[in-house]
Parts: sequence; C-alpha cells; structure tokens
Amino acid sequence: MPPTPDLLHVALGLDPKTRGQALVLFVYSPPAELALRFPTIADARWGRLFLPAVDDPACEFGLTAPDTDDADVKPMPEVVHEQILGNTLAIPLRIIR
Amino acid sequence: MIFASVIADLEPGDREQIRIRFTTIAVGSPVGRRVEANIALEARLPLDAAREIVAGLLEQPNDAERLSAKYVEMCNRYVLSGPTIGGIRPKILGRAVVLGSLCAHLVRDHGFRTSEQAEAWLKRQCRLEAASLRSSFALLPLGGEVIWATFREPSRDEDLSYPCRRHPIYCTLL
Repeated sequence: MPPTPDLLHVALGLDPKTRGQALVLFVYSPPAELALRFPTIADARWGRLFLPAVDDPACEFGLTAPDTDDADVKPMPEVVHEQILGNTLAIPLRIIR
Repeated sequence: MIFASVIADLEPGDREQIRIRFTTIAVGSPVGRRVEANIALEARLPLDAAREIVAGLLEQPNDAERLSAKYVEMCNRYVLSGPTIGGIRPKILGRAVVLGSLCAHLVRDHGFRTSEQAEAWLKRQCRLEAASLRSSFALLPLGGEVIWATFREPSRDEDLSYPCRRHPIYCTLL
C-alpha cells in the first residue's frame, strides 16, 4: 500500500492535475448483485489514466495506471461498477491530506 | 487485441483510413496518444463495441476534434460492458475521491450552498461510526455513472492499515 496520500493518488491513477489535494476515502461493501467488471477503454472514455487489462485468460481484474516512473509505486487492482449509494459504506469516512 | 482483429476484417481502403484516424488521434494531444495506445491494447471490450467504434470513426473526417468527440460518443454507449472480474470476489472495495471535486459535486447536485459548507459537513461525517454514516450517506452516490474502485489482493476481503502522513494514527483504507 502506498505510504503517503500523494503516492496513493499516483498509485490509483487519479488525475495528475489534482495531485497534492486532500482525498476522501470511501470503503464499502459491494452488494452481492453488483457486477464488478474489467475496466475498458469505453469506461475510461477520454482522459482518464487507465491501462487495459492484459490479454491473458489468467488475468482476473484490471490494474491502475500510475503516472510515474517511480518503481516503488505499484499498480493496484481496479474494477468498475455502476453507481451505488453510500448506504454500503463499511467503515468511517476518512479525509487524508 | 480486439481492435487488431476488427481492423484485420476491414477492406484494405478502410484499414488504411482507420490507421490514419488513429494516428490523428495520437498526434492530436497527449491524451490522444494515451487513448490510441490503449485502443491498441484493449482486449476486454465486446467485439461488437469495437466494431462500432471503428465504424463510427471511419464516418468522421480525419480531424482530431471530430474524432475525439465521436470516440467519446461511442464510448458512452459501451460503458460497463467489460466482462465481470474473475477469481474470488472482493467483499470490500475502496476508492479515493479528491475532496474539492466531491465538495463541488455536493454543491452542484445535493443542495449544499458552498464548497466550504460541504467540506465542513464531510468533516463532521468523519466522526460518525459506520452505521450512522450509512444512514447519513444513504441517498448520496459514491461516484458517477461508472465507479472506479480498488481492492486488496490476494485475499480481497481484509482491511489494510494505511499510514496517514498528517495523522498520528493509522486509518483503515481497504
């Protein structure tokens, strides 16, 4: 896990223009009926930092695309799903700076 | 790679034209370069979606702005069309949202008057236990039409301790 909020920002492939800004962390339990999908170019549309999942049947999920040359920042597992509400939150909200 | 097979099925003239259009997308902007590279790597998009994107781009003149607009329009039709992930399903997901963006969203769509008011409210929510938080957030979406989330590997259902630089405590992220 990245040791600082900025590295978390990079590891998650968030917009580089917002690096250094405070982050709100949502941790939640996805409902059983919620489909967790591989991200595709269609989900990324235009501009989101994203790397398509490798073309290998053994690949089980997507990975984030950190925008850095720092070898210590590792891609993190990544999925997409449809919109859900905050009644799924599993732990208290955190704001990190 | 899904687009390679779509392009291989095209007539030679269209094959050349789509390559020209992808090059135009790539040289048009740094984002375009990334989009073009990702198109080449995409392997999970349904074949029909890839065919429609290619056909949509071929309909457009070879102009970077027109192509990017058409590309986004086509992508919008196929969001959340990737296959479901494999292996053990994670029980816990996490996502990080830029505070300023979330506050702007709360102002725009959820009745807060200012970003400062929204941020103050969010800070108060941080003091709530999970059960109260669920009630407080019951009508608030955790993201947009497509929510991007991460999770812990390999067990996919354990909490992680996350060291916060400005907080002496460890907070749980995932």
